[in-house]
Amino acid sequence: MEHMKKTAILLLSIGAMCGIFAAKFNLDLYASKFDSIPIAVLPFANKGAAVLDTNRPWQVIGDDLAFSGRFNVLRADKPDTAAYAANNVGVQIDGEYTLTGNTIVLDCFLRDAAAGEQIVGRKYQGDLKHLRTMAHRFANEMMEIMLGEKGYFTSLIVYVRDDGKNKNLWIMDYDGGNQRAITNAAGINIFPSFADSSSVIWTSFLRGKPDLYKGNIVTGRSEIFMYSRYVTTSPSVSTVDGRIVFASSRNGNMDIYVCEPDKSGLKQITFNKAVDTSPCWSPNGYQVAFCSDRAGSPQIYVMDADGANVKRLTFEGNYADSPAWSPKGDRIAYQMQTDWKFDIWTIGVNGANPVKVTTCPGSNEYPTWSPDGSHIAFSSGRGGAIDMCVVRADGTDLQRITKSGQAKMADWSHF
Amino acid sequence: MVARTMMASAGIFAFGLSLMLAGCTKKAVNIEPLPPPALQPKADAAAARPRAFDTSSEISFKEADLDEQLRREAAEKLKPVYFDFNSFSLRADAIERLGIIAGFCKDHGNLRLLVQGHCDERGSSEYNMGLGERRSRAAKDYLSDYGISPAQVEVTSYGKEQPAVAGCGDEACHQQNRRDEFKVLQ
Repeated sequence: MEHMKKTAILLLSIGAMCGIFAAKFNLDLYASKFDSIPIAVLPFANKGAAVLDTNRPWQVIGDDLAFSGRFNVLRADKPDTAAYAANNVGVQIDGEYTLTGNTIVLDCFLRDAAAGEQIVGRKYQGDLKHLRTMAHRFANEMMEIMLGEKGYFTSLIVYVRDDGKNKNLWIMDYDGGNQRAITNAAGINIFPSFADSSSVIWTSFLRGKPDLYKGNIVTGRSEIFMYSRYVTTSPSVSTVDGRIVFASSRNGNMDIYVCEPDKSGLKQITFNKAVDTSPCWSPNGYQVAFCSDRAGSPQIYVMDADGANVKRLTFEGNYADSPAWSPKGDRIAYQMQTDWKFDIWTIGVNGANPVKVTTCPGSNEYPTWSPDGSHIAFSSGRGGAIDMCVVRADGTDLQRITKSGQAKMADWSHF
Repeated sequence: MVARTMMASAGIFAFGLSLMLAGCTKKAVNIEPLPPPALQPKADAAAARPRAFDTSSEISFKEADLDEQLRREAAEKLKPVYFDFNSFSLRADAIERLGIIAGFCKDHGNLRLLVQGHCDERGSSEYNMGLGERRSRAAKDYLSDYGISPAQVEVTSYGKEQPAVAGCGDEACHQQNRRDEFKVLQ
């Protein structure tokens, strides 16, 4: 009863915006998939001469909304009253475009499906290379207008391309679009972590040992950030205040350290003779999850940001590493090994209810969460070929988003 | 792993060449592991001292360009040391090789060594940086038991990021990746 009430209120508010709304709808359909909103997405009309044959914005918008799991996307060539009625579609996205050389002008519309009245209209203009981003922005608007939630469709994933000789940092849209290199050198560049929307901190062997570097992905400038004559690696940047937590062997043993965004205030926070590594922040900045072999094998632990109250979380297998804390704050993803391969698991932050997320063959490693905590990206593969995959936090709707066979060690950007 | 080629220095005199050749043959026959700590250091090794630490704000580990003779001696004596799965303990074969390496360090007290710890590809990338670090330190600690000053030996870890052999399918192949490698530093 509660469920039906909630959905009815949602429909009524869309109806209020449109002015008119069909009275009859089938409530059973709404019970099926995550309270999702049926929505039609139609091809945009070409108002110019040149035809768009790739990166079609209506395709991108439909894919984004379907990916979120919050919309039932009906794709049609033109408004189809019968199909709309059969699928309880009340809203429709369509638009217009004009392509002149390398410049595109895009008009996107959300309209009432029955009356055709426009609810929302947005205009975008720019270089063709930004076409997918324009579409992602409109999809974000759809999330905000219809669900009151921030859209993450303009989020990015920074990752490592390993061509067998060198490891370089690449970046791509969350859906695998616009893949481009941000380092391009001989050597090993690994473990990237977004510092903010335009900077990345990572580990590089440029000086013959693992040190931390910081680079701006807009200007392309990078510089050494944290170093010693020993190992400095696995950086993670807090979304609250930009503090960096990382692992280092500078005091004779692999331990976890924290510093301020300007490198000041360097503080060691683990002191166990174990290997303590792979730190990651909680979304509120109060705690750090990490990997330690202090109990005899690598397992996931949490502690306060000052190192106090260390608590072990994982007890099931004999090898767990690379924790990633959900932006929702309630669960931690990690990789756990059984029979020589890893799978992605999630566990409650108090150690309760470990759940296996991946079932695909190949070794599934290095999880990272979407900005809203709904999805997990990870690398999946065997032997030479490793690609980036994305899956819902409950393990459903697995998708592969790279095809190079060389993608791993991802970090998904934050809101 | 990409092998660095050492530049051979030009102009080796005939006298030096014959001496070197004779020396190579002799050393190949007479190499044996040095005994534990009660070793008498050679006079010239005692006189030579390790180069001062690089105290500039940005330390860099770069392999030295050795002359031909030294390059060959390094290739012969600074062989990798191998480890058991998930372990950083030194096996008998590792200890034997470390003895030879210690001899090299004593003979060349002015040279710094870099120990690079590595892991096989089966574990996780992040934890393996730690295991590689332990392997490198195990070798350095053993060398210091031989009287090699810690100032003469640097350590670092590559985790599983630089395998000697990639895409291993069997244990014999994985063994080749669980190693410490030794490089002469500038």
